[in-house]
Amino acid sequence: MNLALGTAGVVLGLVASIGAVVTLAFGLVGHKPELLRLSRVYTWLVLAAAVLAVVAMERALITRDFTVLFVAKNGSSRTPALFNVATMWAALEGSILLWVLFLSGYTALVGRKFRDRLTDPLVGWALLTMFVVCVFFFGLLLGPANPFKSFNPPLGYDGPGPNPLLQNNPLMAFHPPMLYLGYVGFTVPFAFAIAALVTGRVGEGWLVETRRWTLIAWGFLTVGIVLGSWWSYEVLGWGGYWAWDPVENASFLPWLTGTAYIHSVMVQERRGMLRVWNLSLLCATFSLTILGTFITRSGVLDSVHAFSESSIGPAILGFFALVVAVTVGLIGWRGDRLRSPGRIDSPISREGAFLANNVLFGAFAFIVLLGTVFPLLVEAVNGKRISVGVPYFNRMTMPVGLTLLFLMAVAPVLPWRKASGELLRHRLLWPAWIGTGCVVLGVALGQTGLAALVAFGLGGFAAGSAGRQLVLATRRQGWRGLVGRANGGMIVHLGVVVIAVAFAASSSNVRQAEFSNLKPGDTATIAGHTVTYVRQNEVVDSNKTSTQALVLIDGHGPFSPGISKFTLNGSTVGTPSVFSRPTVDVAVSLLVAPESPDAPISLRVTVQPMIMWLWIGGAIMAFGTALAAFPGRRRRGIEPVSAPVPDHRPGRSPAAGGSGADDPAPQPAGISARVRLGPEGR
Amino acid sequence: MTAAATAPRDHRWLRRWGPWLAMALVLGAALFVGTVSQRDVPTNADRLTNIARTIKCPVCSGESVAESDAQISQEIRRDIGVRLEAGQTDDQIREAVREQFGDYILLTPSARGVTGLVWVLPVVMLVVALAGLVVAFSRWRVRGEVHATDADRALVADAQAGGLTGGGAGDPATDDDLDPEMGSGR
Amino acid sequence: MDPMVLTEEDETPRGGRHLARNVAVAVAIVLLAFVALLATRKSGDVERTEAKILGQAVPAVQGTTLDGTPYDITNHRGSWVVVNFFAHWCPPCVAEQPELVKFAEEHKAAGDVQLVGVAFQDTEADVRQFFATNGGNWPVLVGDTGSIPLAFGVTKVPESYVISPDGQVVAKFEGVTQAKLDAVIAGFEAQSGSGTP
Repeated sequence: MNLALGTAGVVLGLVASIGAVVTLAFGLVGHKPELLRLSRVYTWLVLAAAVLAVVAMERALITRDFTVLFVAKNGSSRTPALFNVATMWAALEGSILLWVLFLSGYTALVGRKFRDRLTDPLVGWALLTMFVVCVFFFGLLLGPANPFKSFNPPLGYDGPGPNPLLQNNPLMAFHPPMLYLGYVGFTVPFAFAIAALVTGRVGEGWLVETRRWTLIAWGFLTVGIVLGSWWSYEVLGWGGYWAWDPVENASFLPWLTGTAYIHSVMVQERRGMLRVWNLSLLCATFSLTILGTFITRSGVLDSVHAFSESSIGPAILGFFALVVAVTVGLIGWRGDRLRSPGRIDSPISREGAFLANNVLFGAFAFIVLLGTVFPLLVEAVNGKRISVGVPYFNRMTMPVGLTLLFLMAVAPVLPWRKASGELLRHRLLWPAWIGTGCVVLGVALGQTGLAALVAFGLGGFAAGSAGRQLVLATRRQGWRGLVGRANGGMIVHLGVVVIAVAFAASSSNVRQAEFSNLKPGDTATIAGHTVTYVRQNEVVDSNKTSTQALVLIDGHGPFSPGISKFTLNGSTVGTPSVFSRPTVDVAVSLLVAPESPDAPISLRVTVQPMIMWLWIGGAIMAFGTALAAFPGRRRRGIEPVSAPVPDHRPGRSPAAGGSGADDPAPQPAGISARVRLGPEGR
Repeated sequence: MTAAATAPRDHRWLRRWGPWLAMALVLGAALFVGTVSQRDVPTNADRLTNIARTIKCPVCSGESVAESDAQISQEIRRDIGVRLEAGQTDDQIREAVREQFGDYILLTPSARGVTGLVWVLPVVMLVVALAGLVVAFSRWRVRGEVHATDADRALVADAQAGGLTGGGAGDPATDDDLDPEMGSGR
Repeated sequence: MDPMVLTEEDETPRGGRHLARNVAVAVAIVLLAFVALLATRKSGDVERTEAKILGQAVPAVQGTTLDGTPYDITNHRGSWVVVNFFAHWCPPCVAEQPELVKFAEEHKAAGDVQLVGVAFQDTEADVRQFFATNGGNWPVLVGDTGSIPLAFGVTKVPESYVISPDGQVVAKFEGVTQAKLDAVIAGFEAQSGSGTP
């Protein structure tokens, strides 16, 4: 039953997506608006199909229907309820189901938002692009990633449950959905970018429409990444929250280009410039999400987070190649005609700051991408196996990160077009004092090391600048001074500063030690904290047996780091305990399962300050994004709006009207008023 | 130039730059103190952790020896501890581990040979990007001011009269990112 | 001249007329190479039989065996020795045990090949059980054997190293068969038989 429903859902989705692609293609190329209007029906069909498939899978998981191979391999009667629902995205095939659900949801939302403009080729091409992506993912579900294969369970069969590492923590239930909402969300602005390239209408209209979508997708991606780090930190037990692991990097890359886009798009809105560059950024972001999916699922790079290898790799790589070919081709073909004239007057201006922002984020992304794939490159060139790990990434990204902090401080006070030294001096004085104060405070609290102190100083500087903007805005507009893109953006900056400072503080002050041969009552001391071993404890659960060591950390507790042995597949997983306080975290993990209840134990203790502020900073960023997406005060736009170049062919009027579907050829429209150089020349 | 004329100029200069000078002094002093003041010499335990973090766990997927609980990692940590007691330097220890397992065991890529590219390429790309920006800015300066002609004004009037076809032009854009200080002159 | 019709002189876009196209071509080439790289990468499971230890003198292999007797590999200089790293919890180790048993049987009479097992992250009880279930009757080092795998550069089990009579590590296998071991020994003896000592 579940098998039938699920497969029906997937098939329906694929057929409807293909149908939509064909219909829209005919409608767009043949200029048939009635076909274009059908797109909304297709979005409903595709959404219904995805919902059907997901409901079927969840039903199978919750009822432990082992006739479904996916459930047989990943579900279990002993898995607790919440984790059973989350089991869908704990393994490869189900994760594609989640992707497809969100993708069809976004497609339906686009159909709804633009329901009055379905006959506009811009919207038509955008929906066409989204349906093509749907075809790919539904195709995966019918092919290499089929979750609805059947299985003949022997009598009394019980599944092994999801990977033990994934059963440990409720964060696991939230991290993938948030991440996917972000990844998949970027499909929408990408689709509009493709549409803009194809129709030649790279004016600002489509941009304003999709601005909120982009921001929301970016917000989800941010939350997803922060939750992922938090989960790593809680589960993997050594106090690490970011290991520059290939899968982590894969999720970080689209975030980097997405952030660059969010900033440089403001230059486009204000000055009409950087249009093709912004389109390229959007295409790069989407391509990177597909690349990220490939890295995570193909096993091509070693990672603690990777799904199991499967034949899905070549399919995703093929889609990546297709996306890259199409976008690079479009940009190469159309880009030069669509570039805007115009210039940036001075590097010391907000435009200049956004350019610098893009250069820095580009460098950041380049470093992360290069470091991630470099072992592959070297192996292809000379067959040697090398590693590029944390030391490389930290050393290379630190200067970029510090420069970005500096830019975050200076950019908000820069006016458009041109700034004077006088203005900068006046506006930056107090933020600079705050930065200095942070350095002094850091030294007073015992922080040493130039890098960390510089990070504190720049962080304070940036926070002061952001705070200054918020104070000015609230003075003018009251509470409304906190919402809207600029002000929400300042709050996001504050969140970034908190994370940066917490990162600097925790990574420069981490202390770790192992203590062996501890008997009940022994106390280990490290960096001013005490860990007292009380006794052992054994806990038997529905799906695992845990041997724990009860400990008191700084007199608080008892905490129970342990080692869990999962009854069904015999694998063992360490479950560390973390004592979190706003100032410092103490993490304790049991190294080896002790042989007997009275045997002495070995513990590893890690002390890191300021960890909690990483998660708080993430929450501030999410809050700021929500505020930024909140509609600000509506005023008449002063953006350069694109006008079509009047067509001088006989019989055509300059104002072609709303529907571009009548145009036989896309004009190079959407260019700002081209001007001739007057005799004044320079 | 009379003395009276130069004095206000000096005062102005001081008023303008005084606070910044003071700030620079305070900052410099704090950074100096922070950088130079020694913490206790790193203990062997700290050195162990620091070295272990640069060595890859050979059996894990992407963890370092400092983080991994695998027994081979514990063995390597124990071995590093032994070598530290014996007085070996960080580099000697890393070299010894590399001898046993191969180049891939070190998480910091070597700076020589093909591998060195990973350190060089980002710098090269940054330089290229900055050079591109410099070229762009100099070309912009050369092009000079643009002035609207009558024909351009006619085009704009025509567009404002309703000939807009850019999608979404009917949506008055929110302009909430206006410089909050616009019009304040400073 | 109609001001709406832009002439060539007006078109002086910065960066050249075809900046987008040229950059796109360059990017396309790079990305094509990148995709090719990803597509042709060998799977991570390729058997890694290259090892730094090959050709070196055998590291120390000494300890206490299951029956409590001391063992030292240097006592066996002059015969071939196969050092087999294993653990009871590793399925390929279980799979290769019958091959090792056959190999041991084959050479028991001639006595020219010694076998020694080294337990890798295992307990004595489990190792005993392993041999009881799967057969095999050769010295097995248990207890504090951690430094031995480290010296060999063993990263996982099973791994087997073939030591020549003069104490050199000549081969490494990740999972052996009787045939592979015999081939190594035969090949080596053929070579050293025809070459100068």
